[in-house]
Amino acid sequence: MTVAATLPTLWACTTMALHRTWIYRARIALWVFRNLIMLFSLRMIWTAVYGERQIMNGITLPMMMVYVTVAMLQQYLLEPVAGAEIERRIQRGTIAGDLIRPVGLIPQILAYDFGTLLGRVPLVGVVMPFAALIGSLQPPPSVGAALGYLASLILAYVLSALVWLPVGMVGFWTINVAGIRFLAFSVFGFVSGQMVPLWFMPDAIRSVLEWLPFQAVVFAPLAIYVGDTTGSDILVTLAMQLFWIAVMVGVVRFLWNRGANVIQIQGG
Amino acid sequence: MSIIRADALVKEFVRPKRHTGRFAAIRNLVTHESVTNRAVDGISLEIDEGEIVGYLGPNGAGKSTTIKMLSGILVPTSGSVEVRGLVPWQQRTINAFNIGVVFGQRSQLWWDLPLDESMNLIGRMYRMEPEHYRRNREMLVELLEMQSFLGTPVRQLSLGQRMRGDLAVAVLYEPPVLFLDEPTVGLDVVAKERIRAFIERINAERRTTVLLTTHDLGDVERLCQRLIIIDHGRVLFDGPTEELKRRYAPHRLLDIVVDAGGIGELDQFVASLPPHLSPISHEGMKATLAVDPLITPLPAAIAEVSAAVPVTDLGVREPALESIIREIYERREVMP
Repeated sequence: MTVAATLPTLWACTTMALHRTWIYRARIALWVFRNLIMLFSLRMIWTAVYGERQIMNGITLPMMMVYVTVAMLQQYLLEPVAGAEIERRIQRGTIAGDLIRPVGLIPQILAYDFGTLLGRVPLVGVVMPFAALIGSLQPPPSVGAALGYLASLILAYVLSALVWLPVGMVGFWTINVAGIRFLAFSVFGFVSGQMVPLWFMPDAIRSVLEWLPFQAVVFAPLAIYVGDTTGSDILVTLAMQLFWIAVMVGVVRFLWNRGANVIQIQGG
Repeated sequence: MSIIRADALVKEFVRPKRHTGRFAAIRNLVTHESVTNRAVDGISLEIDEGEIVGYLGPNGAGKSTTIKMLSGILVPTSGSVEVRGLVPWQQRTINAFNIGVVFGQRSQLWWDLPLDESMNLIGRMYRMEPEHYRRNREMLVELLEMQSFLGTPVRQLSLGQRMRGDLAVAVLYEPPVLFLDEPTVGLDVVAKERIRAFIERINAERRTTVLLTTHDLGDVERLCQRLIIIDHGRVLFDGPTEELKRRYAPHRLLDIVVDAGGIGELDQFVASLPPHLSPISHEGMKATLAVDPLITPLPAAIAEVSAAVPVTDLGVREPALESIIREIYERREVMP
């Protein structure tokens, strides 16, 4: 069966996720509210950190504000739905039904993840004007940076889903993944550049992190956005992200081939 | 020609051994013993196209595990399965079009979406032509009387409504094989009847092959010409329902009712029964006797009873399948 033939099936999974995202209206309102508060608190924190200084580690305060603001907004788009979703389905036992659909489980999960993304894009669009209004958000310095960011963000999204899938897939063996996921999430916030940009890390740590896939999900696109990565370096970044995507596809395939045989169905 | 074939099917589950008692929590953390449990132990079966087969067994006998292997959800430890010539767990995505599955204990509908939305999603997942989808949806909504709750989120449906919804999505894309794992569990009499009538109709109209597990022998009596009974993961019986009844119960049951004036005569009659009549129950104005029609023709037995007792009412029954199955489950074997 060709991939094209399965597209209607995958699109059904995508729209299902899209609908589910929009069912809980209170949750959506709360998310917008939380992010508006975050906007102001990020602004206060980093203004205080910079104090009288104009520039730290070669990064100006306005650059930093843009970094943390875009990091916050893109985090919502890159959030690891796929890993958590696979874990949820294993625990509820609904994975039994997913395994008898006319498309594989992993493509179903990825299609679901994509639907969640589509549901979230408009929400980010709601918050963005506020961020611009208080001066935390500025457009990328050039058209090249904007296009580079967009390309890098798309790759970052794909990579994010692939990086988090294996965490959920551990559930094939252990059923409960919550502990591992929580640990991974905490570590990820640090090693990806979500909490603190890689610029501010000691050189030793930074050079290690640059060799890991996690910074390719968060830091790499942001560095393009704020104009720190420019010119042909943008292409290097994109190539690096593509490399990690290829690696993670291999990891996911490997885990699926082994995991599909040990899946246990909870209940009944 | 058989549409479902399983040969020497085995499924073992390995789980870590859990200690109990003193320091159990710590011992559980540091030890790595495991326990192997053989849920299915060499089951072979063949089911022909258009059959409705009842798959029975006590709790934990391995029924659901078998169904999960036949549908491709679980991979067997050993043995082989073919459903319409496909190996279910190797060709899951193609096999998906051939089978519909209902797990009575667990819905496959999307919890927070309206039922209609779930049907629509399934129709699209199975790539149905819009016209085909519309026709089948209409037919199912009418047949299962779902109009009034189509727009309700699945989590708010009653069990009976949810089960109808589950059945509807399982047959929506017209799979030739239907696996039903306890489709009537927990339903009231009317809801059960609705489900049974629906299964009967789908089988008759589409020649859908149905493998049905249930603890409700009403389902079996109504639907299944053939039974497969398993226990401890092995087949105890595989054959026509009638054959099982004949083996176990060649006899008929005679229900006798007298009025208050006849109690004494009934007592006396039951106390000194001839050997070809055996008492099953006796209380006040009612008694039930077992008759083997091969030894005593029923009219003769009835005449004998009528002569001895002032009968006000008399009925003849076949023994219920339920008592036969109970006996099999209790003895864990089937009479040869």
